[in-house]
Amino acid sequence: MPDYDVVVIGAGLGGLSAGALLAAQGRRVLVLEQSDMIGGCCSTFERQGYRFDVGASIVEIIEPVERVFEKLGTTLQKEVDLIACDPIMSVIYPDGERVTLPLSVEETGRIIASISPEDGARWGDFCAFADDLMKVTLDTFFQMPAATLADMGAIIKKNPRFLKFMPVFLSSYQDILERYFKDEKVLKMMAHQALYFGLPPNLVPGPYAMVPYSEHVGIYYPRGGMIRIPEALQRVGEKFGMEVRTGTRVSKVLMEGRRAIGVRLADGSEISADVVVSDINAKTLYLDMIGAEHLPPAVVRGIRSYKLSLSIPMIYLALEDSPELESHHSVIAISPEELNRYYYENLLTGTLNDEPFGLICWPTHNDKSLAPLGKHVLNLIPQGFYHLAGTDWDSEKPRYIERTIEGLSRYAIPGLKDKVVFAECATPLDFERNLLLPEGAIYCLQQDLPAQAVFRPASKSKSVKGLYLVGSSTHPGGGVPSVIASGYIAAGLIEAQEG
Amino acid sequence: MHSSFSKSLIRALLIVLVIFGLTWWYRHLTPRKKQFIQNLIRQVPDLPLRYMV
Repeated sequence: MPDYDVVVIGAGLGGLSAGALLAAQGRRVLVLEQSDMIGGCCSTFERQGYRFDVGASIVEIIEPVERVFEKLGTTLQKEVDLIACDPIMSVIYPDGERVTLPLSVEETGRIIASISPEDGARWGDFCAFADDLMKVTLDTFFQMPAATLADMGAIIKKNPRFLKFMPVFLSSYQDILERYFKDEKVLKMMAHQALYFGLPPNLVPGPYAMVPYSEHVGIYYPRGGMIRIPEALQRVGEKFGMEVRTGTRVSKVLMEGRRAIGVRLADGSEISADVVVSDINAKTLYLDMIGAEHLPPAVVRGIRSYKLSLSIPMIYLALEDSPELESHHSVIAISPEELNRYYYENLLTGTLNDEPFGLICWPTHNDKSLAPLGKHVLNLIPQGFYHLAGTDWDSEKPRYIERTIEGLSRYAIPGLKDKVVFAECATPLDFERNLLLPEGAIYCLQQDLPAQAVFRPASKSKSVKGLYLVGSSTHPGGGVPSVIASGYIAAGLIEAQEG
Repeated sequence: MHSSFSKSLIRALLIVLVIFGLTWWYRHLTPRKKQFIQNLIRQVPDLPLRYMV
């Protein structure tokens, strides 16, 4: 008899949701996490009384998250104190002008109409399109595997309206936005979300263009920090007997022929299991932990063909006073073309841009418990990438922090540099070292069309029996709701196929 | 014999038309749309391999 029914590698959201759901099925589940903290990119750490979110900054499209907690016999709202964020975002333009977007779709439409009456008139059509698309994907992609043509057939059979959106997959994020909006200032409100998927707007698949709308359905912040979500999954899973071991690194997946039969830990000890669930980068899993010798050559070539997703640096600021911002999220306005240029001229050449841009997260706007009384926390997600021309992140880090704070103080957050108590930075190199993300790739694999659905590593491995994948590497991709959905999908597959 | 020749001719004409149409369509795309298409085409050889993963 194996030591466990299921061993899960990695206590990210995918691993914990799969682990908790499998424990609820009555299986003996062990989750192994190499770090001392659970949650992976959706985690929170403390420094000198300030709490910072590692990466993920809010939850949106919460239906897949709610579905997992309901399946566990509870509710998301009962387990996590969610704060609804309204306004949802402020857009900061280079001339210092700010536009703050409320949760209300109607009010947002009025704001857009005040900038461009034509675009304001089209906002309603865009919302109707995005709402329809969101409902179809929530009903299909977020619940069902999409690894084979048969899976795709099942998706279409469940919701034939999926076919209606097939042409959208052959369009880019930029195509969809520009189909509805023409005004540069309006486009600048909606372009940056393309970076949530790690690609420029002209390469991100069209369906993701629903995000500028889906944020208006609701974005939430867990009181106490983003780690409250993985903590809740762990707590509920443990009620069903799930075990979580932190500080325990897996070095190998044990194989018997083409079947996974457990794992070997870094200390040399072995744990046997009927099923192995991986919540780590699929390239690391297949090429390092399993090894090419256990895989068909075509699979090895397939795995090697994937590009890693974008990496980002994070800057964590402790502030002695409130920053001059209006909402939980603020973004430096940037047009789709500027973002494309950044990708082709900066990222691909390893040259950091002079002016910082990206997402500014101000969690203490909604949750004062994250900092000492009267103090604040700011998490900056400026742009950056793993490979720097002529330097490396360890050398660049101090300069990068200074330049980003200096740049944001100029017009985006006046007076910022005078309010900083201390600053920390997690570079792509730090993410690689601490979270074992190759090249700091936060979404593991690139998320363009040729790496989606049937072309993304399958939830149920096609080449190794008893092996299942969760997390950003597999369908439906990266982001809080997606990785939680991957755990739901894997648990369903294991229930149906492993007895 | 005559009918078989006509069918081949029609087929060849159709292929030429499709190639001409695709070329015309591609030439009129914006540079950004071309990059989207090029990114897809570049990865086409990988797709059968990725399907197996």
